[in-house]
Amino acid sequence: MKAGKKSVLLRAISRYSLRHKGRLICGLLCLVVGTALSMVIPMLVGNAVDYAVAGAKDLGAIPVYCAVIASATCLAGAFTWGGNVLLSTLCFTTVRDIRMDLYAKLLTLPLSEIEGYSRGDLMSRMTTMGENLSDGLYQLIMQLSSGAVTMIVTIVCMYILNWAVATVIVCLTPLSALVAHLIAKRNRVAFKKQGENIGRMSGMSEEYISGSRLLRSYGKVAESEAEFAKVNDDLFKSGLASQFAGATVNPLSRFVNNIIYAVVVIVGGVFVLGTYGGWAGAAGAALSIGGLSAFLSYANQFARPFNDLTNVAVELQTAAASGRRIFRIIGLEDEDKGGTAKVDLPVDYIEFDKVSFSYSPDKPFIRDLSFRADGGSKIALVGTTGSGKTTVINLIMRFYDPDGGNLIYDGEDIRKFSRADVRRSFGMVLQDTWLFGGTIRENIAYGKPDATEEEIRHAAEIAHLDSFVSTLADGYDTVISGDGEELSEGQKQLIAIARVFLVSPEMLILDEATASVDAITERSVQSAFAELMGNKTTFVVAHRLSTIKDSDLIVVMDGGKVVEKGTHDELVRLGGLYSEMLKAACGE
Amino acid sequence: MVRLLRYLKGYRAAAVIAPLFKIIEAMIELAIPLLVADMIDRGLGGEGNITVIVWTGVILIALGGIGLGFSLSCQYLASKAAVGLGCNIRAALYSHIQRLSPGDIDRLGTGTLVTRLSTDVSQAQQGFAMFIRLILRAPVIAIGAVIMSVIVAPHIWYVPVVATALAMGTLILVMLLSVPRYTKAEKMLDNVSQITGETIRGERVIRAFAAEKSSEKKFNDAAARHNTSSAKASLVSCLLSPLGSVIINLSVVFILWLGGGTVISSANSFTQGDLIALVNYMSQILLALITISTLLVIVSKAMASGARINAIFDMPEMPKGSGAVPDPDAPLVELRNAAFSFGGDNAVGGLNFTLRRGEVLGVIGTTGSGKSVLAGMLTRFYRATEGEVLLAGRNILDYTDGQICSLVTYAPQKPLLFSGTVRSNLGLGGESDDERMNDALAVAEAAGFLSEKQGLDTVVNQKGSNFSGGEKQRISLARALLKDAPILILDDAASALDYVTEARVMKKVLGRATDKTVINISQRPGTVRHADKILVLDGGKVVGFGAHDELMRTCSLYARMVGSV
Repeated sequence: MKAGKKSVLLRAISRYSLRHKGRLICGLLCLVVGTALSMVIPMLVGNAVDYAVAGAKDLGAIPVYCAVIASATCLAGAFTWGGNVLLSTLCFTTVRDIRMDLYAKLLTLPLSEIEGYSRGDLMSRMTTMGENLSDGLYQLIMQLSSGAVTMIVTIVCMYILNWAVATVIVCLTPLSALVAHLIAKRNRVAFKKQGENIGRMSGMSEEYISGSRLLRSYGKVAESEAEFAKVNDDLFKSGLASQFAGATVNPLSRFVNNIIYAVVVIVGGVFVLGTYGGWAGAAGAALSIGGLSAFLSYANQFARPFNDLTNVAVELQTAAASGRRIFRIIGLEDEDKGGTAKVDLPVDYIEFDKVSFSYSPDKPFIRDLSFRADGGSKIALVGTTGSGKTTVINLIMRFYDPDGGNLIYDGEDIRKFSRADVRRSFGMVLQDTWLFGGTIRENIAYGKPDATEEEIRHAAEIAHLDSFVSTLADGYDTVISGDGEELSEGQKQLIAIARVFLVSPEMLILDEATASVDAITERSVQSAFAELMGNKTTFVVAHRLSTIKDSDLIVVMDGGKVVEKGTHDELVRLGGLYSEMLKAACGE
Repeated sequence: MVRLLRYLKGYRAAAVIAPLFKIIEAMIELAIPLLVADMIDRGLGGEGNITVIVWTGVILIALGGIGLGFSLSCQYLASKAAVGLGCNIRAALYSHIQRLSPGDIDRLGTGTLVTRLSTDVSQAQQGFAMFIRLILRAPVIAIGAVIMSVIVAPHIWYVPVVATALAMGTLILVMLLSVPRYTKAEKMLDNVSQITGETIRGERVIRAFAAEKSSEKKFNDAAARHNTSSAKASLVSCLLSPLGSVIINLSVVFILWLGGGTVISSANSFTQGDLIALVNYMSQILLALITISTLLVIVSKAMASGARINAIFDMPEMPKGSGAVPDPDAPLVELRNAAFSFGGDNAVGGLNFTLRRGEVLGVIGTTGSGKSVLAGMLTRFYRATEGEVLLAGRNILDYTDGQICSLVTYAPQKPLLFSGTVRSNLGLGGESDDERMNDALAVAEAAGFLSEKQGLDTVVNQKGSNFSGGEKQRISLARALLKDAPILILDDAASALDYVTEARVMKKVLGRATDKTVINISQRPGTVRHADKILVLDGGKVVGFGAHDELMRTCSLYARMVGSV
């Protein structure tokens, strides 16, 4: 099962990496050549050392060896660098492509999917986890290519030098691998425990920090500190275990290397003596002093891939976990585009016919919702937080689809039209105004990027935005930050209204649009709304009952149900929930 | 980062001894090439000597064992010191956060603060561990290897010295060149992150305007820029290890070139064993330098985390107050021209009112009018930046936290339930009697929905996520009723209830608080209408103060709010 998960992830990533085949192949070739060359150098140096022995015959060989080693060194450096650069940029580009697909998913997934994740979660998948994946991918490629080449070339060189000593080293290597494996296994347990405790600590501090006011006003800060100290103690224990577990990797593998090194010294030394004595040569295993020195270098290098693998094991696990979480989103099913029927403006009416809907299957929410919005009428949705008003808007905008009943748009089932067309037929102003980092002009022209200067100014004027913008030094070119912190809620709201004006949509949706606006700005906003509405079909969600008195239809909702509907006068005469609310709101 | 070392308390000895142990291990490491050189010269020279060879091997293993002992002791002490440091920082940071002004906490956000406590502390801890483990070892090996090679071959002393200097210079140069490139790549990643955040916030608007294509283009541009800048950074940083290898290997070539002759004219003391030792020292230098460069990366990350942690420590804690005796005859609440500002214009200002036991003050205004800041000033979450706030005749600043806690009860708009049970939440103020708890739940109309669950034993998930907003508010109101303090602040505390239920609950709650001073904050005129006095706030200013009837005549905003319910 676990292997299956891994291979799914690897297949997904290689699909992206293989888009850049040329770079992958060139990079791997460079790396292989570079690593192989640098692994040959110890053997060359060993040979050269033999020519430095007193009484060596060919003195001219030293300059030749020097020249060969120098050029091998330079070539190895150049190829390794080239390989590293090519492969690391390959990883960046692969992750860039994955990020682009992840981003595209943010815009094509159903809102129900996206809203199942917190904003911070999605953002960390995009950034931190993307970086983790990129780092891990690089390590993986490096370990697989450079590590394998190091081992193969070392083995070949050692067998060229002396088969007997080489066999000794190759036989001892499993010791190194075993140690690496044992350490990695122990580390996983320690790291897991540490991860759990970090999670506990984060959960607790999140609860206590967001509840800081409450803790203070109930005098419970000291108690929370004691609770925190308990978790912190656990963190000390598991932290020490995992920190120390990680820290044993290098000393232990160094110790194993030292043993192998010592064995090579003894066995190699014996073979060198044996070469003097003649028996080693007879066995086809003659060894020179230079050869021994080369073996000593190889003894150190041979085990390196195993140690490296242990060192990056945690990084690879993090990358795999990150990759899985990224691909979980990319693998989700897109929202369907809806039908292909053409929207024929103006829309005559929109009707909810016994619509039911729920955000989660175990909690039924909207039940038996019915009302009809005629073209050009003003529909008000009234009710408390959680009564289902905003859900109605979500259904009209096709952000969500009904579970049952019919939602009729211009005489047809709304599913027959494309989601984009339905959405485009509405202009929407929400309580939380959405602005993005850019100039005020760009923000106004959001729905119509090719709008002329004149159109933009006109929209701003109708939205009562012009006078405010003219007080800014840079006017419409004033850059605002993503959350529009430098503007008041009212000013942000006016920009959003101007934005809707510019595209002049067929119908309007105003969702609690003046809830956070102060009284003075509210007047401008209200009159801007009046201009905007004209005789368009408008859905208003409001908690202030006065703003909806003149609506053509008031739909009163409670707990996902329509409790009553009618005009203001009708509902007052009815003496039901609406009139009770009206009274309660006035404090009567 | 250095400043954070004061939290090393209790682990100082470990932090000092660990690197010392590591030096001993490094010395052993440095001795190995010499031993091998000796073995080659004495064991393999002339006829050869098998005893020397075997003994060298045995000594090498023994030295390895001793080195392992020292090195493991060092790793243990270093881990202990680092983890201890981390835990001390974490505990101090948590306490500090709980003493910051709540305004600062809001501004930073819970998420950021939790990251400081988890990721940043871990990062700093990891960096410190690596630092004490390697900071002495790598330089000792590098410098030691240079010294040893000079001792072995004094007449070519300049080769190892120059090579090491060159390699060191390369390392510094590559670091200097790559740091600004990495900073730029970071910035580009921030852009990617910002656009992502913006998109998630604006899902509905983007789809409503069918602007998916242009959003995608914007993102792809940002992602491409990040890609390019990362590639530029790696172009430089990938140079480090190949260039280091080239320099060191070329110096080996030099040694061979210059030494080859010396070995042959064996009149000089330079032997073949020495030559091999030299080659080995050069590769030790290379490994040490590469270790230093990876160490620098980890340490610089730790420094960045340390700086972020210090930025939190640098924020002032709220002063404690030395304690004062409440005056039983003075009004319970008195504000004298009080104002509060977060730094710019007053968030709320011009506050002048006096409240006695039994009086109810209604406060009304829209979001952002300063209502909640006023509530914060009465709980000392916010300290008046102008004027004075007095509770029971004494300046609020003079009280200790405990005294304020026994004077004021606060029920917030966004009620927070802690994970546990309903009983543990209601008991937060010290109440333990089931009877009284059930009574308070009945008053707040929470008994009904709780009886369908397990009553007082109903489990509460983290942040009370298994209750609706209205249910949480009612439990929170019951909790507030159970706390015995003369001042009760209800900050939009029933806003998630419908008008009818709210009116009923509020009436009962106020009926239980007739011997208290109640400050009832709301956006709804109906909620405040029957208060003794009503304060009308708009944009941080007081625009009306008086009873309902009076305000209907004198305050146009209030009249409009009532007319526009």
